[in-house]
Amino acid sequence: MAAKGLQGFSRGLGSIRAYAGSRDPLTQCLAPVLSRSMATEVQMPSNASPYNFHALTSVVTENEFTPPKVLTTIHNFPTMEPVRLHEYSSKYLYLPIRKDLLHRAVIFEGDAARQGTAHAKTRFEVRGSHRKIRPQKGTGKARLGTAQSPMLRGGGKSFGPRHRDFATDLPRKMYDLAWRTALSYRYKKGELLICEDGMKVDYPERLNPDHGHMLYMKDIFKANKWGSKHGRSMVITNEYIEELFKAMETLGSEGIMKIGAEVDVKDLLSTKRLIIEQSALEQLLREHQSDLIPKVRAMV
Amino acid sequence: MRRIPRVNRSIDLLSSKYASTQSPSVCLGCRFQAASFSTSPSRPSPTSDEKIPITGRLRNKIWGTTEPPGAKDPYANDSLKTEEGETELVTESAGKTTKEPKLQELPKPKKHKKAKTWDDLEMVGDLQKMSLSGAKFKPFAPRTVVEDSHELIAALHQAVVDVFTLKNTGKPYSDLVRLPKKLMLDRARSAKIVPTEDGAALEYEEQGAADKVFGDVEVDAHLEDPASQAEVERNLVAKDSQRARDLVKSFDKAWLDVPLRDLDLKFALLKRVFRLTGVKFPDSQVQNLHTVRFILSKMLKKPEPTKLVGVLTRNVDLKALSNVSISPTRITKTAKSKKLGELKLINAELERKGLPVGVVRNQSNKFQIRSSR
Repeated sequence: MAAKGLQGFSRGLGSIRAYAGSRDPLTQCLAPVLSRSMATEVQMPSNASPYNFHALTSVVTENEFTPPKVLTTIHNFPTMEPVRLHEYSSKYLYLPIRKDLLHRAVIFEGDAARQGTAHAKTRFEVRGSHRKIRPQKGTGKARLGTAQSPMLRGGGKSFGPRHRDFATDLPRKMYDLAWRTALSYRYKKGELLICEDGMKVDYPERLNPDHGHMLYMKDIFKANKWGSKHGRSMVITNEYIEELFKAMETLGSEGIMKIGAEVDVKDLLSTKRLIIEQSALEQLLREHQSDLIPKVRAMV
Repeated sequence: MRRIPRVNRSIDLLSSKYASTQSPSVCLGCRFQAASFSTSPSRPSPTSDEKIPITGRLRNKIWGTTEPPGAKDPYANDSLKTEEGETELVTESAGKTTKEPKLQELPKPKKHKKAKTWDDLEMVGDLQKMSLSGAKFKPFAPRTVVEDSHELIAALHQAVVDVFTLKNTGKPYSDLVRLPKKLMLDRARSAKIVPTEDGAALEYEEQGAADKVFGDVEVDAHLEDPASQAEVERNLVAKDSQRARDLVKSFDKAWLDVPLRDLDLKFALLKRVFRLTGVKFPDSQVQNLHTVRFILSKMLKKPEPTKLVGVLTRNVDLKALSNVSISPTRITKTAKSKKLGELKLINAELERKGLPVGVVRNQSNKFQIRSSR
């Protein structure tokens, strides 16, 4: 629409100039000839121009900016052999990065995690008699009331910490959106590695379960570049797998292993990458989609 | 005599033979005093005919018979023999009794010479290797990622040849894992890739080469001598960047325009590339890889430096300045004096005077003053 308007205007200008040159008094334009056009000239797209919009759209489609579904690779644990591709909706793993939401979610979790047990006694809570410790007048010293005064040594604290609940509120939909934003962030950076269900390690038989399993797990982390030199990794499983978790007990410098129920937004953002079981990921997405699925009201 | 009898020994509390008597001639002390007796074991009487040891007498008393079962002397050599004369551990066969093996006399050690250094001493190995006992984890991709650009191009060419060979011969893509993990010269140059609308057509150098895709692998697997197999692989592997460079020069550039519309084909190609080179593509980029050229451009793109020193060393103008030096760590006073050459003079003087030379970290990673030698 705008292009057509501009075209018309430029044609109009051209026609004005055409008339300005004529010397016929009937057709002579008495308006001053403008040496410069009022509108900025725009080079209109044509087949000869380098910007071939049709060619561009054939390469880059709208879907590539906001694809409806995104592809993820499902790997075999722990060899990380790609097994197959799986699709997830972009509303789960391709959300735009909202750092403000992530910040609010992390602060919300931190507040809820606070114990809030710090407590300082006030002058009314400090044990002791409430007797006036010296007369009002005649001592030559400052007037004093009780021994629990905050000005005195051993007295109470005026505005000290009180044990209280530091938890704050955050709308559930915002929290769920932040959760999926964290996963999307990981996906976009290529730091979300999804593994097949049933994550287990076939330890060699001759290894000592106490020390050998830990060393073998350390070798797995080293071979896959998951360890401390590569920013540490978090492994998330659906259930507690004893042989994996025990091996990771003393490998905190290399990574962390958690079950899905224990994970929060801060954990998703803490290590360099996430290695997650597919069923655990789907469970997390199911639990944090309140903004996508409306509440179903029970029919009375 | 005491009016109240005091007991010196607890055993004196036992009643004595005089306790029951009511004779007035016996005093209370004597009445309640036990007869002295010896607590030391008695010697066997030399006049005894049977000469049964104490253990035998105890056994007789326990069992209540003169011939109790079991070994007479549990500490004798024939202790394991039962009454029937059969041994439990030593079997008698054909009347022959096996004797206990004699202790082998160890050879006398050579004259021990205390070692001053650890040279020529037997190295046992570190604890980790001993604990793993050679059980090393084998990942799908190689442990070291290929970085040389020519090797990457050759690997991608090999991957395209492998994948399209399987596709054109109708074999499943899952057979790719059966192919060798290493970058093979002959495999990479075995076919010319000609892009088509659907994918690519391969023009093989040898007739029937497409059917022999897994032939090389089987032949290699049956080689008896692992050393010769390793040598064959070494000659075939394009590990040397010069060999890879020569290989890349022989490629026709048309192969980069092979389209990758089929998702399964693209997945198989990326999996093969990952297996050969260790280069992994993020899932978010997979959808945007339309041709082989896209894959190559991503592979050849060097990762952004994570530290400032990486960014600064890339700056050509900064490097060209003669009065600018870039250091990855803080430049200490010691480093400055070392660069000037005065540190060695200072240390020499300290050594001459017998003073501590410097501070070093010891085995437990703690700072320790290093004394002059």
